[in-house]
Amino acid sequence: MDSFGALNMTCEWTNKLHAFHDGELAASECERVATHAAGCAVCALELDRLSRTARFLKAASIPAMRPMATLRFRERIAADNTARLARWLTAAAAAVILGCSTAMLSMQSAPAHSPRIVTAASTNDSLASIMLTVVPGNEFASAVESVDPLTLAVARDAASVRDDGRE
Amino acid sequence: MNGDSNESRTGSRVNELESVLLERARRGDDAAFESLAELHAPALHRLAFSLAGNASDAEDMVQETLLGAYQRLKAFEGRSSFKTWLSRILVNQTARLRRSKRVREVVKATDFSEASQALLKGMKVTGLQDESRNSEIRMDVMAALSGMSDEFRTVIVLREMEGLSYAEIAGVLDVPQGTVESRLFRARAELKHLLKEYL
Repeated sequence: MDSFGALNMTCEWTNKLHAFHDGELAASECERVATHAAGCAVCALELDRLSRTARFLKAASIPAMRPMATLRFRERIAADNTARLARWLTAAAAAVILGCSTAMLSMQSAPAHSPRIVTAASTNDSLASIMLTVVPGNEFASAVESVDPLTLAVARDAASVRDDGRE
Repeated sequence: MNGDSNESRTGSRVNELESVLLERARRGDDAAFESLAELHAPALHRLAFSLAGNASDAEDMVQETLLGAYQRLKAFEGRSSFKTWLSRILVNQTARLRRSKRVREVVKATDFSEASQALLKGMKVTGLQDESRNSEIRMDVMAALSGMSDEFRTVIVLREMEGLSYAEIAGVLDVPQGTVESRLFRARAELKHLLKEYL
């Protein structure tokens, strides 16, 4: 049979041939496919094509990696570590500078009565962790403008409870 | 039989060594990671070369893969083997590289060397160890692979050239095994069409 002419001929077993060729079938099924292929010209040709293609692909001898490439990798790891250390040091330095600046500013502009930060916690998730600055006299000086009345009431209660506890 | 048991003993020793190195590398031991890299670099390079088609891109891909693995080592949970994990990173790197280069060549199978033609026709090839002949066959294989879509080339390389099982390929590509089977079937049909002059 002309192999080119049979290129597109199929058999219902064709799908199984690939798994058979790849050694992915169970032993019992292997036997069935082998028996079928022995008597089916289409499957025999397909198996032969699979083998020839595999042999061609495997014959491509891939050259080994140059030793220099391994050295380059070591250099890149070292460079990556240096960059990571530099990033960490920059972040640490920035944090120290920010901390010092904040401390100096607060020392310079500290009012007679320092505001207290009150956290109004609520069991309701939507109201949780609201930070409000409270000035003496229990007034909310810089309450978040968008806070709804209910939130504000909860925060005010919490503030007064906290104040009661402290003073 | 005896050869098989020797091979399996060697394999299990390599696995043990790999586990120890992995554990040390995850604790920040760079020397351990370098040993792991040296253990896997040859196989990664072979895969990268088959996917990229040339040594220069292959070496870059191996470098990027190992560096990526080094940076994300703590994220490796051991659900697949380390080799599978590295291969997955490399395959993703390759896809990115190919997308950026938009490489897809039209294969002219008639340009194939005599040795390749003989192999494809099932004829005996004499003097296969000859370096220039090997190099010709390699170029022809790369040309044929280059004419395939990325998805199909990858699955063909993993199966035919790397000899991975369907389950292992599924791990590398992060797809179900059934997808591997159907993709491999379609990939072979595409390859058959590319090589129809000789098959």
